[in-house]
Amino acid sequence: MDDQLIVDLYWQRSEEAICATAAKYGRYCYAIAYQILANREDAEESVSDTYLDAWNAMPPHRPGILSTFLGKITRRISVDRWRSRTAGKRGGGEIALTLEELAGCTAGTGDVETEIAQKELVKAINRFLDTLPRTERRVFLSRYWYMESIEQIARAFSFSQSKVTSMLHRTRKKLRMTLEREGFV
Amino acid sequence: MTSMDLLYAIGEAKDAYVYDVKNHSAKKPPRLWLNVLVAVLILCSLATTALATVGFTRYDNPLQMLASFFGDQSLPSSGWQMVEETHCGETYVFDRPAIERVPLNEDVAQGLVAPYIAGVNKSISYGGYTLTVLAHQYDSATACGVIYYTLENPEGISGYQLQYDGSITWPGGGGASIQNCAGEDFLLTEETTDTTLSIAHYYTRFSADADKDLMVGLSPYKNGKRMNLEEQKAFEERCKPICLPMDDGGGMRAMTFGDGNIRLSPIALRINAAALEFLTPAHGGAPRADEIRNIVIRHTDGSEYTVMDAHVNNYAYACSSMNNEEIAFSLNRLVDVTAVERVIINGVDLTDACVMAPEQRYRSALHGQQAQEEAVLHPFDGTFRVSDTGSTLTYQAYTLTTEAFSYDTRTRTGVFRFRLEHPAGFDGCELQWLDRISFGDGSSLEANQFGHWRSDISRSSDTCLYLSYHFVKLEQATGSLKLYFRGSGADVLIDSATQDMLYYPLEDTNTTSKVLADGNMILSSTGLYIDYLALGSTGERPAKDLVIRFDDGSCYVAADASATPFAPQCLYLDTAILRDSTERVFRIAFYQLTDPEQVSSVLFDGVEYPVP
Repeated sequence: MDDQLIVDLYWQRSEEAICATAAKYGRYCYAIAYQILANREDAEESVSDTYLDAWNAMPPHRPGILSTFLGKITRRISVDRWRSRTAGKRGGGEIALTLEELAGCTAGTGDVETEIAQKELVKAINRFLDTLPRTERRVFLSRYWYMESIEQIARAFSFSQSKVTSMLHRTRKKLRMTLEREGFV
Repeated sequence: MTSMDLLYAIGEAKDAYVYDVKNHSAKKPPRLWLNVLVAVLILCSLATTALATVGFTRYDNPLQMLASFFGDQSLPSSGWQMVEETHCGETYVFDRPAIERVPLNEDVAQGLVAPYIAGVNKSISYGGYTLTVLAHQYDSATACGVIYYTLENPEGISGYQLQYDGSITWPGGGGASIQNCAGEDFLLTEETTDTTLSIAHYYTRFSADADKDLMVGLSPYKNGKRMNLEEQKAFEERCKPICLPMDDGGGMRAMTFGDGNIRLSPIALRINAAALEFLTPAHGGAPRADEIRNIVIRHTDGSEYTVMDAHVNNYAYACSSMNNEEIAFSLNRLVDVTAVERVIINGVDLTDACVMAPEQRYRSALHGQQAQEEAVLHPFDGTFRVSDTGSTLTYQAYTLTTEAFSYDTRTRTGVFRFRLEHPAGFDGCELQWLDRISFGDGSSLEANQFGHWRSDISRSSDTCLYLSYHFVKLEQATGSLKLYFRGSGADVLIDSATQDMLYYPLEDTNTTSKVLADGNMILSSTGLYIDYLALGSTGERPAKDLVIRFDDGSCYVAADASATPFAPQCLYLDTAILRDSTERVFRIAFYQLTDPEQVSSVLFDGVEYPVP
């Protein structure tokens, strides 16, 4: 089913929207959730919550790219779930490794204090992504947005694992410099 | 700012950037022509399976072949090195593992390996190219093997790229097309000339391929371009693939380690990572094949063979299963399995060596003539109600003519067959997942149920496509199947009151259905209903195994979770995903019609349910 039709179904409050979303993007969302949570039940719950969030968001929202819209919801829900889970010391998932890697780009202390500051950080990240060559940006987002393993990225891009690691190291260094320049670190 | 803040911020990256990542690596909806090509290959397979013969003929020149494959005569050795490559104007530095090749161990070759190499010597030709399969070795202990073949063209062969490890790729398509396994070609340089490539194809198989023979054909692609339909038909007619039965010649000697989860033969190593606790990732989860960092085989005389570590890749080809539970390595030297003391993985010593029992081998249950029967589809057009044949729907120059329709109310599954004509052909047309055929100009043909399109190449031409729509009726959907054209730019569905829609009441047309598993499973000719909770299944998907077994011993593998890549031959609907659904069941639409009277059992999630 065409994405626009699926969005129309949400706007018509037709429950077929959920079914169509699950059929077309269920596996995509599940893959995102599983990369983060590494747990089938938790990933399935995150995907179900994604449908609920999408249902609540449309209307009034009308996403330009439905897959990305759903993926962002799944990612946010899954990261939240991972945080609450790690509070209970259950751990797991690729996210632990990505956080370790990103720690080198941050000051490592104190949460971003306000929603405004977080929004500024989002803008800075997007400005930084604007500056990256396409391949480097895709590899970076594969790791830190989709939280894919180095092996998965290497396979997807036909690179060696060491090449992916090397690219990510360079990109993180550039990110650190950008964040320092903009006063976040 | 913490790394978690940063992670959340990256999560809000621009949609276009996030989309771009998966637009690069995710599977796209298949193009119609790709479906057509797959169908051609299937038809080729069906036609050629008849050529399969039962019996094992030993290859008459095994040592020369083994020296090229498992010695240091043809494929290159190299040392570990740092390499620079430029992509998009940026230079990247990465390391390239060392490859060490050793002289052929002739005692092992003669005693443990040579008797199990099958001579084939069969050729096919098309478009100036001749492919000859000289020999084939299948190792049923590890489900790995090697194919020895040549590719000739008197005018010369180009279009391939030789990699540093001796493997070759065909960036624009070309070379051989080898079905029912995952593998890689390596160029045997000492035997290769400008007009003849001599190639070793190392492969492995996973459970999805278990009952299929290998099919070795020529690629229908050349210089990155597909053939047109007429060329494809000629190709299909004149270039039937060579069928290689999975005959192990009795089976090479092989050993197991790690409670049977590591299988070692003279030519390959297979590891069931899911069963090895020490391969559990540091951050939790199930054991995974990609946690393997190094593998060493230690012999009784103290010598060692490092199959892999951070700086060494001493194997020809490695492939893990889709679910990362298993991995198989085609080795680059012969191993004397009678003199192996232990296998060491990630530093963990596995010393419980056992000679592999025959029943542990990955033997194909179906060979030769039986394989032909296995591949035959089970058409059952008797269930179709054809009273609507002749109804048409037109849109611009497109004409849709119905052929047949079948629907079963108990499983709520059905099939609608039709032909679609356009005098200018269908360039740019795609069968999209789900429920939509896009015509490339923004217009489309759509359906209102939960379904999937299939094409029938054997009857289609450039201007007339024979298609079917396999569907599950949605719980909340109207009680009719509707098909309609949607013009580009239209933003509302076409009104059912107009003439622009085909409208079929979903009334029962199936004649028979069978109730299995104490009423928790219903089988019709078009699909299956499964109450998975009642059957004790968790309902975990991607789909697990679903196999329909027929009275004559053949089967229809509708889904196999370990297939590489995962490609179910049916359409699943888990009703649990439907909001306010009163059911928690699977409804499954088959891609081939199935006569319930001929079905002996249904295998679902590892349990066999006999048909009463």
